[in-house]
Amino acid sequence: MPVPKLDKDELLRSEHQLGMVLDLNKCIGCQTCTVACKTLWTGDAGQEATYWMNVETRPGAGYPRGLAAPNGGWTPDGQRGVRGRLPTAEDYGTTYRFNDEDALFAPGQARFAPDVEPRWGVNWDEDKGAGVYPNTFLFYLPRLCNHCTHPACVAACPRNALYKRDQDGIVLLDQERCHGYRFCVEACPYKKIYWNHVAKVSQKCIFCYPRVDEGIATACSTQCVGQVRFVGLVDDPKSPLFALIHTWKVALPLLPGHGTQPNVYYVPPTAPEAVDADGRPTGKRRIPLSYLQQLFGDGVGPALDTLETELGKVRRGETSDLMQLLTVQRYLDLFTLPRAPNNDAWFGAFAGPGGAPHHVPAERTPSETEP
Amino acid sequence: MQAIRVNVDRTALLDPSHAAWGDAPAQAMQLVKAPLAMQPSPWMQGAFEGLAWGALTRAELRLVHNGEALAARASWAVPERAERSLGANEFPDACAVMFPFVRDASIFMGAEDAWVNMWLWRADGHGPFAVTAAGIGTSQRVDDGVLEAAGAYRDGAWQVVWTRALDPGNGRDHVPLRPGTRWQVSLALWHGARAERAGIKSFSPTWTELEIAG
Repeated sequence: MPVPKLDKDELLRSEHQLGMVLDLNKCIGCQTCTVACKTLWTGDAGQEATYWMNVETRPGAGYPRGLAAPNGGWTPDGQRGVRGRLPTAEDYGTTYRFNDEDALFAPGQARFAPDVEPRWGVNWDEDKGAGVYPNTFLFYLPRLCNHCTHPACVAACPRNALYKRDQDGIVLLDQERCHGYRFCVEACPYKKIYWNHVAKVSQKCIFCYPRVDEGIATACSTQCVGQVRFVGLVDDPKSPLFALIHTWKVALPLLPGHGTQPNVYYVPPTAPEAVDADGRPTGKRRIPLSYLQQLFGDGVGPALDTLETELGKVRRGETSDLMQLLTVQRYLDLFTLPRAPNNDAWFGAFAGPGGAPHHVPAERTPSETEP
Repeated sequence: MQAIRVNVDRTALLDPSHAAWGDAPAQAMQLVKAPLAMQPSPWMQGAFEGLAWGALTRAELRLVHNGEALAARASWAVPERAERSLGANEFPDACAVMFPFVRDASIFMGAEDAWVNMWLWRADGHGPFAVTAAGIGTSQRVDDGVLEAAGAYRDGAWQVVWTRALDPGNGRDHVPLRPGTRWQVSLALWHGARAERAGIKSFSPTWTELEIAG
């Protein structure tokens, strides 16, 4: 029975909006988040190039390659669709297999090597960065679906296979309705929808909604070694995300010019000072402001000023509420989901035989937004 | 056009070069670019405005039946064939024959009160699918093995054959077709090398009258 068409406005509407703030001053590019997501969700045949979560070195080519080129979304006024470019298989990189059996488990001297010479792949340009010694610079940029408020992907699908969840705005792609047309892949300026060439459908980050529904934050966030990510409602005035985005204005959206209103925000990297040929600090920023403006818009200059002002306070022995917030002395303060965590589901997974959890989380007072 | 009766096994008819196809009268199908205005996609309305597609405007359709199964053969020229959908930017050549469930159902994929039934073939081996639809954006693929199809590329042209029982006994997913009756048929083509898929296609703007020989 054909499914009745739903109003696009209905699909786009949500009562609240979950989001994330990532502090790029703390990301060490360890890829734990990448691996957490990949092992949890995208290990099937057809998903070789699928990294719902990936960490890129910036400056860099991005993943898939070619993210810098005009690439989807909307005109800046948010009114008209802009056609993106569909990445080629080469833009994601070569897939290859190693000859484990021959090289490691059979007699002989076979060289341990991939069957196809790799020419590109995820994180290929790791740590390459830019700049001229002694002022080379780079930072790590973890990227995932932004679960946008004005998502071009939802608007693009002629089958209404994409929608935002009513309760929290997570953007989901119905695997039954999808026919693999990939207008959504064209439309996403961040290329965070992936083509599964075996299932012949498009797939994307689900913001770990089965965990979210148990009050547990996304795998990428909870596994993060550097405690980089705040997860919570961006529209809740009590959430740390709201404070970082709207009060302090140090958390900025990525590539805001594409008009999709992303809900994943970044605290820009302050980076060490530039030095002269003798290694003496010059008082200038090492990462060119113009580069950061390309990524995060015009708010990045004031955001860096605020960060440096607040850092200065702490260096002088004064207190700073912003630095207190960003330091994250309690891991669980990172996660302020609408639903209180089901600790049995979460910490029970870490418990050894016997079932005793290793952590006893403090009580959370429900915010006004809890259902 | 006429679907003549032949005395050939259904499986044999799946070969587009079977002699029986030479006996079947050929219907020239004139197709047109599917209009962007019909796409229920606000983003596409802006992003695809002014772009060209739907240049495959000529195809040939033949239908035969053997009293138990109906077979259709479509052929169309396409210089660069596309058989893969491995890369995100790759789309296969495809073709669909469409019948209404209700006479004169909307040629634009039917409507809620008058569905349409398509036989979809893709060059990448996914399918074939019988499809039902009640309007643009509502198509549902039926993967029950009732429909069979095979394609061959020869001399710069695809030849695709579909076969299906005339009346598979599931009137909701498969429109019953009966010898000695008149019905309607149309065609759509997707040029894979030009990234055509979904509503980005060429299609028959009107139904072609079909006489199924008794």
